[in-house]
Amino acid sequence: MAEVSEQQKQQRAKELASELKSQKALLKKSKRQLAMVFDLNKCLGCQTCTIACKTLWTRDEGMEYMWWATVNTQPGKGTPRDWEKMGGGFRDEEPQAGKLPTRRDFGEAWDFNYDEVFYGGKGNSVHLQPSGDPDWGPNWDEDQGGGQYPNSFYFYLPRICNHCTNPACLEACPRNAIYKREEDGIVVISEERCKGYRFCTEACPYKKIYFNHVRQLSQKCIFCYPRIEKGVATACARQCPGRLRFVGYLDDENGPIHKLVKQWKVALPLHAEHGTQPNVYYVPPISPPRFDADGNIDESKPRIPTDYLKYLFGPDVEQVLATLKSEMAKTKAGGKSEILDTLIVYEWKSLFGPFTKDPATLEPRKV
Amino acid sequence: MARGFTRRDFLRATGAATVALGLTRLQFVGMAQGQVAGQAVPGALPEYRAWEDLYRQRWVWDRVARGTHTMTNCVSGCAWDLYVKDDMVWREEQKSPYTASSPGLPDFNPRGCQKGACGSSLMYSPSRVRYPLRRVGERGEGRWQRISWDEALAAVAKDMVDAIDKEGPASVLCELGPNIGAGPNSAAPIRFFRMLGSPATDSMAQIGDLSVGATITLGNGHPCGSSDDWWRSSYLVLWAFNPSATRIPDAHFLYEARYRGAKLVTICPDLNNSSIHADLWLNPRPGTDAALALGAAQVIVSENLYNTAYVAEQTDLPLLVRSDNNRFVRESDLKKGGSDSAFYVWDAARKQVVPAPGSGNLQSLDSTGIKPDVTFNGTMSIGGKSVAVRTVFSLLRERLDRDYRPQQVAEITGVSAAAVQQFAREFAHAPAALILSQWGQCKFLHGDLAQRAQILLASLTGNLGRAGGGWRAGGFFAPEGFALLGMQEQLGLMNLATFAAKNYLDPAKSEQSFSSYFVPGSVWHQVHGGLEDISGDARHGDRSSPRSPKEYLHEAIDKKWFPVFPAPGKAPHVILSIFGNVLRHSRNNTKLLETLWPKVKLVVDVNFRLSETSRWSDIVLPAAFWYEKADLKYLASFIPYVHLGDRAVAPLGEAKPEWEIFALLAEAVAKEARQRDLKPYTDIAEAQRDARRLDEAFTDSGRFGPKDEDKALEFVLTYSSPTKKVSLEDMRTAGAVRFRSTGAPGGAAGFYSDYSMDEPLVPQRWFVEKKQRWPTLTGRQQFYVDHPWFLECGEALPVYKPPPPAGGDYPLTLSGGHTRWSIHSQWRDHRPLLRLQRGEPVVYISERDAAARNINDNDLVRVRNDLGAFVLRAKIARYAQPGQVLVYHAWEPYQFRDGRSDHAIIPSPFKPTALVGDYGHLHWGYAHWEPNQVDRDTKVEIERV
Repeated sequence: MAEVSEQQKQQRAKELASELKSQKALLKKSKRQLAMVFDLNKCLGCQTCTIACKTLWTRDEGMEYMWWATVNTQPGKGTPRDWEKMGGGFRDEEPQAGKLPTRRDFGEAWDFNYDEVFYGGKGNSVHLQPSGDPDWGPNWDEDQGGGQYPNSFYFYLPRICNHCTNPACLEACPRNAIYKREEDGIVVISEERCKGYRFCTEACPYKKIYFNHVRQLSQKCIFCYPRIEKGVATACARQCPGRLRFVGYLDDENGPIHKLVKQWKVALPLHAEHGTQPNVYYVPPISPPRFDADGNIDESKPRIPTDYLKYLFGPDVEQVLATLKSEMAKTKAGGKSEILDTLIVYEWKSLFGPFTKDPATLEPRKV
Repeated sequence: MARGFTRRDFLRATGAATVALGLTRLQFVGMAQGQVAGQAVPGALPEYRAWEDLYRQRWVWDRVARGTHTMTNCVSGCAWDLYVKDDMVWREEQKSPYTASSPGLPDFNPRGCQKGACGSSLMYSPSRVRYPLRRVGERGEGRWQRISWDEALAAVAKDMVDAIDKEGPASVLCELGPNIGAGPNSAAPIRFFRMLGSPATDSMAQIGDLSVGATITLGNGHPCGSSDDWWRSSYLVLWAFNPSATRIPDAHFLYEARYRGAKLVTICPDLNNSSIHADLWLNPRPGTDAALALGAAQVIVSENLYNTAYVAEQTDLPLLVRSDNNRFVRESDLKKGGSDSAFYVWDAARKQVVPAPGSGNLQSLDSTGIKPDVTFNGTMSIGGKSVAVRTVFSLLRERLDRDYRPQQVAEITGVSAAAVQQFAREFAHAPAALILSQWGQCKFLHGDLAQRAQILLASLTGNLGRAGGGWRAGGFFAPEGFALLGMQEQLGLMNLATFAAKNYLDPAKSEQSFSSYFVPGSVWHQVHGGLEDISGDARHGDRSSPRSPKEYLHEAIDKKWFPVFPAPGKAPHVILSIFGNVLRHSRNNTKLLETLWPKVKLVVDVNFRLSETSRWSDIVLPAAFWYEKADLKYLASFIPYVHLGDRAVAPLGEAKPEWEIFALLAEAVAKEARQRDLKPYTDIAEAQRDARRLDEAFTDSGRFGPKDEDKALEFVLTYSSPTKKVSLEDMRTAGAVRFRSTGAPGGAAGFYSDYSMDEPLVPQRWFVEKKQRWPTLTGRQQFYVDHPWFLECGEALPVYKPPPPAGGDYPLTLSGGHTRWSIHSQWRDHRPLLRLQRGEPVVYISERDAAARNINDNDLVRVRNDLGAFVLRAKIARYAQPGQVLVYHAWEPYQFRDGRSDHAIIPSPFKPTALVGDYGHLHWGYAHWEPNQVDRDTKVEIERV
């Protein structure tokens, strides 16, 4: 057998790398891109999105602790705990190492001693409590916030998988199990191909991928593609009583997403510095004015520090806030604002672009 | 092998560093290179996409039913579709049939919240009761035996008949909670106890939800509109109101109004979940809201920003008050045999005292021809003597200028004088200013004063009765068919025309009235539950009243201002609890176990879940869940639609709908009464009852039998004006239909406006536009109350009184509020939702107070005062005002160590002035008048365990 020269080895490595790159390019290619805009000035923190997703997709064994859609109070450690410090994504197009969160960082699905309390014959010597002495959960730091009273501040940040244009998870998967659906850009993990290595979770800078310990594979938000395929908006968006989750194609110039993101530029991606080109965009929050040391109303700087919003949404957030404030000043003076009219959502269905179908009108399964 | 890969290996691979790894990867890739290079992924690689069916196959169902959360005291009505799979409700999703009330308004879609979105998992939760249970251990011990329905019903019937036989019908009590709908299952217990002739509790004040201040001022404590009218306001004030958490389906109108140009103001000690979306947040110290409102009123009055014409016509501010006795000038002062309810104003045109429009024989508020002088201060001849008289306005202005100048108010509230002024001026200049107060203020001892002061602001600026303006809590429209089903024995012979809807809430009509079989729940538990020993203790209450609260209580009962059945001193023998959870909600709940429970021979709880009250019951009867029976959601004003909750699936285990339960219990009671030959008896409303034929009475001689739930529901729809010409089939198609009418005003329906299906609901327009008199003693918005008790307590005018030291002298105020996580105790113990919290009760504490006590986040802490202590975990929150700690609403006592919840140490002092009777509009009536149980003034200390 002929010796393989060092040169040949290097040549082969280059070929393979190039091959892999072209495969990844193919896996992340999509003709269109679905996106969402979340208006943080309307988010109630009610978690209806969280539950809507839970009851639809993550109720099987192994999925109890999963919350593909979450809402966390900012500032806060979020879900999983300290996810913003866990790295991942890209820098200068080079993948960056990330930390693999533990299941405890996500928060376990605690069980409770219902039977003991109700039927155990132990009276008040027992009380209902979660198992495992929890110290974190998916919404553990709800409403804790930041700042010093009375200049405290907080807001709610709903998150799902960002269905990135340049997904770090896809890039990281040794099984090529992750791909973007060509027709809509939804990022999915093939449950046939996935072997549960969790490189994707390490790579994802948003830590929106969960590990199913029962089935030994990774699972995450699927942008409700079975609904999308039938013209029905995602459950989190369609069920949101705050009416703040816009769904649609980014390139649909008549749709609200294109207008908010591209035309008016009032919605920004979260932590875009990770280079994954996320496709969930946020209208940043504006809270009431602060108080000065004498308790007088102090309009000189915002309650939510702009630096904090820049940390989340990048430097452009200043311009976005300026735009929003000037539009709000316009309407307060009795004027009209197309931007704010869009965010108001006069007609609920206008949130959903082409996905306005009522699921109850679909055919039930054949029994 | 796979776990041997490291992140670094992979980075090297993508960076073209190692051959071996690259090869391994390619094996994993498992696709032909030609396909990769040449064709699109989906077409070329079918194996990549085939797995996607997995999720498509999950999103399937067999059928869809209409549903809502009928028997939960949630003031939102929301239409849901229930997706049924394998005869279980698999999940629910909003139906969203709503349209905008009028063009240019946002629509109501989609309603619902996270709790409604997991109703089905509550239905199948471990707390669900599936079979009748009989206690076999000590009460509260948690040892149960499953028994048959026959056994259970016979046991309940035996004790009920026994109690009636020995002590009369007053000895059987229905502890009727607020989780009530508007259909047959909700009417069933009301009907049952009425036919039995026994009392049921009016729980509105018992749970602390009666807007006493609004009743005092407006004659009705339920001023209500639809939530889309909020959108039309230009100045929205959320005062002790947190809609982001408590009005989840309606809150969007507020934040959308802010975008449209309204200014959104929140007033609350803590930066609550709604304040984060406000344009202005004012943060008074807990319990000082009245001072803030009066401060704003002082600015409005002193800067002449008030609407003189409006207050002259609509309010009692121009009425004359005698300076010698501080009473209104009445016709009876001036004429022998004159009316006690005819009042006077000074006519500036004619320069003389004239009868006030709206009082006495003057039914209209129309002041045409006279010019009431709101500022008059002079003398008039009364009984031949010259008596100094002045207007209410003049008294008010003097008081405002004396006690409530912005700087004084700043010292009381902690809100700066400049902020008070800014708020007052903005409020006064706004084209339509609306204070949304809801039911939070009711839970302060002096919440009535705060409400009176807030309403004063809305009134001075002419906002009450205006689109997007005024002061509002919430109201509930009365479907007449529901009241009939609860009250009338003979349903088949019913003639709606003979049913004086206007009168059925009037207790003076006795048997004809809805109120007559109710007892005031708050007062009842003071007396029979022994709560008066704590709540009536002057140490915890208002120390400025001259007599002890207990003395007022017993005088009010002795004067029959409040009915108490059984009479004080006699014991209730049977308590049947339904639609509520008295051992959770009652302040001093542990006291009830010590005082009331031992007196009661049998406690029965009808419930779909094991609540704290179920745990301490002798028999638990399993009720069908909301998705297992057909009922209507009560008609809350926020959403002008009637909602159907339908029977999507059969009840779990042996659970039954309430209509069936009470029809069967009526049979069991009748059987027992016949066996004992119980003679007919006179009931609590002086009607004759015969328990031997209770089954006939309940079913209207078999016309509405145990299984006739649908028929009874059809009856409600047929005889209710909000559902005029709407059939059950229509409801089953639509899920929700817009009110056809709002029915009669009064009671909990404080609407008093013509209703249109094509516009948002604005209350009180009859008074303002049609000049009808207000339902108060004076026929006007009444800011001055000259009842002797109000005078002796110093509350004739709206004033600020400092929060009482309830619970003792401690540095922290225990407050709270409703939470986004439950509707009272329903969902409070629900596993999926607990996983989104911390799994157990927490007390929110400011960083400063925590640090001072060396308390860290998630530490176990003891909260204590003179009444005792409870233990839970601390949660440090930046939004909490230092000095304020918050335990949010409705944790079950069994979620605390030793079964002691926050309510165990809440003294809940009561308000003497709310015990008055026989004063115009101030009289007992269902959901009308009674002192609240309160909790927000509780003083505590906290320490690490």
